[in-house]
Amino acid sequence: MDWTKSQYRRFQRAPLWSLLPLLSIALAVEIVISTGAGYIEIPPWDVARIIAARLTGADGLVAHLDGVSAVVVTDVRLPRILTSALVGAGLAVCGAVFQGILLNPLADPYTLGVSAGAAFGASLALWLNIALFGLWSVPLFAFVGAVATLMAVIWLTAGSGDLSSGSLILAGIIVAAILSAGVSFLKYMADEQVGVIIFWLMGSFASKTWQEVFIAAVTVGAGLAVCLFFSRDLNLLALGHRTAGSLGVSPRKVSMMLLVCTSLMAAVCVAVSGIIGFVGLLVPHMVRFVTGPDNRRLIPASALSGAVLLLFGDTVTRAVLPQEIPIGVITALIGGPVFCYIYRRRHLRRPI
Amino acid sequence: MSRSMYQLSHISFAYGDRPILDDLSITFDAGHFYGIIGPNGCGKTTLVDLLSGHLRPADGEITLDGRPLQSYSRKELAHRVAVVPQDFRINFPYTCREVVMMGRYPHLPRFARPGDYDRAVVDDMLTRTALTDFWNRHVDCLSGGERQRVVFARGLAQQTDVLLLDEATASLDMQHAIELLNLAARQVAAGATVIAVMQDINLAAIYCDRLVCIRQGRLAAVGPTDRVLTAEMLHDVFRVNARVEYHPHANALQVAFNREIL
Repeated sequence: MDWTKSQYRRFQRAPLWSLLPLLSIALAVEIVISTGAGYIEIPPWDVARIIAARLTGADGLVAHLDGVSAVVVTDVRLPRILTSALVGAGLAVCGAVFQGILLNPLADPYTLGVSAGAAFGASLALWLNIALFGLWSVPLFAFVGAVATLMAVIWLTAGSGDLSSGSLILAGIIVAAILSAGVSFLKYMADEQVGVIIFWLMGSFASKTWQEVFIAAVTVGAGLAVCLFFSRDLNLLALGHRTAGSLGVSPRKVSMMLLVCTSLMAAVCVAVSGIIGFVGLLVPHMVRFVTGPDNRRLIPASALSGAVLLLFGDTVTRAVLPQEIPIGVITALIGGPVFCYIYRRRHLRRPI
Repeated sequence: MSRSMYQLSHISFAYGDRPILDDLSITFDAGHFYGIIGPNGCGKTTLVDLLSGHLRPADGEITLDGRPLQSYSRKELAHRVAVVPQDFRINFPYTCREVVMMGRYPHLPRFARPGDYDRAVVDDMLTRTALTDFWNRHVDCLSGGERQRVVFARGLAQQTDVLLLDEATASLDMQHAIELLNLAARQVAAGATVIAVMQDINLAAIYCDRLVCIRQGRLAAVGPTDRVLTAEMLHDVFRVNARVEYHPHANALQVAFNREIL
């Protein structure tokens, strides 16, 4: 049988070489526009000049601008904007990989209890007013809580012999339930501190610094590289562990590696920004409609789309709404209904 | 005199303290169509998992071409042995062609795109399995039989000289079962070795020139089908009252059962 060129083109879905540059340009434009928006309006070209001046060291570009704009752009807005973009990318990649490992298109980075663990750790630090590590106490406790939870879940699952998706999800639900009860208990005990705990749990990018940008960039960058390296093996996991094994992949090793890597990414994202839901669930789910399920396309496209979306959400709450609403609330309020729509359509399309 | 491919010596395997296979020694020669038969739960699937390297024997040694199976890397094994499992569910909307292309992964470097040869192999396998009209359909929307053909095409696309079929035709109707077994037989004619776990003894008798009968984890009989497939063997292994006769239409031994359980 002859395969015509047009048939191949249809098979190749949305070609990656056009999709990724498109998303990259969208993200760059969004960063510039978002940086200009806010209480002090700065025209986009001035923002571009300031960023270019900072990157190249050519101060001549900004000679005609007043110093306030430069400070607002580089020290106030850019750290927040870059953090939200990086966290969005990280959560979306985690979601895509979790869905691949757990063989469940409805899994998200928090399925294994990473968010519950981070919430418990952060609540504990806030309740006890721990300032051992200065400003970093709460994120550090959140990170430790998330990692400890992941280890507990893997320990629970490893006893059952293999890292099957069913037992992982179940272990995640059990551990998360216990930790949520713990968070409730801490909130109950916290008296006046309860407001601080609740606010942290809802997530926010307010007053982020270049340090957070650096931490998020290193983690998300490294995590993305590992996920891309194993993306083809992740495709094979979809065929089941037996078949993946017969196609030259060690399913246990690959699942474990990716689980640990993405959970660390998610833990850092949560520690930096609080718990932001639905990005990790929805972005890969929607990107899959365009790229198809092949993780070699899905993962990079999810990273860029997650960055674009979460930055958009954060810009709306920071610069558009009259009063800032926690970003976790925004993503849940928008993401929830969108998810319901997708879920419903899925069932209508394929009656079971 | 054919070359020996797999050599199993004194293999034992247990899940926890439930023994599955016990002191099994078999030699699989190259270029034959082997049928593994036996009652449910006798260890047939475990045997396939051991041959594919998915499981390791607790005791004993398996060699492939004289080399211990454990000394092969997964990648090397993927070039030698393809597995077609029975149940196959996939939760993601991969197209048939994408799944069949996964059979080429072991032959491609990690970040390489499939070349002309790989595409030609995949198209050839889709044609052979009568899937040309389905190539762009999502596997999660196919019927069980269509999906099974996709998995079979994926196994063929791997281009190995050993093909392990784990009840690969059990969920198929007669026409598609015969089509797939014809494909497997073609592979054998071309020099490959097929080792198939089968429930349908009459189909096994038509296609397999060697039979391996397992009962409760032990080898009950092994050898050329004409010699192994007897009423006594069926009586001992399956506890049924059967009659075995050469049937000219099947051009093979065929088994007739009755209602009696022994």
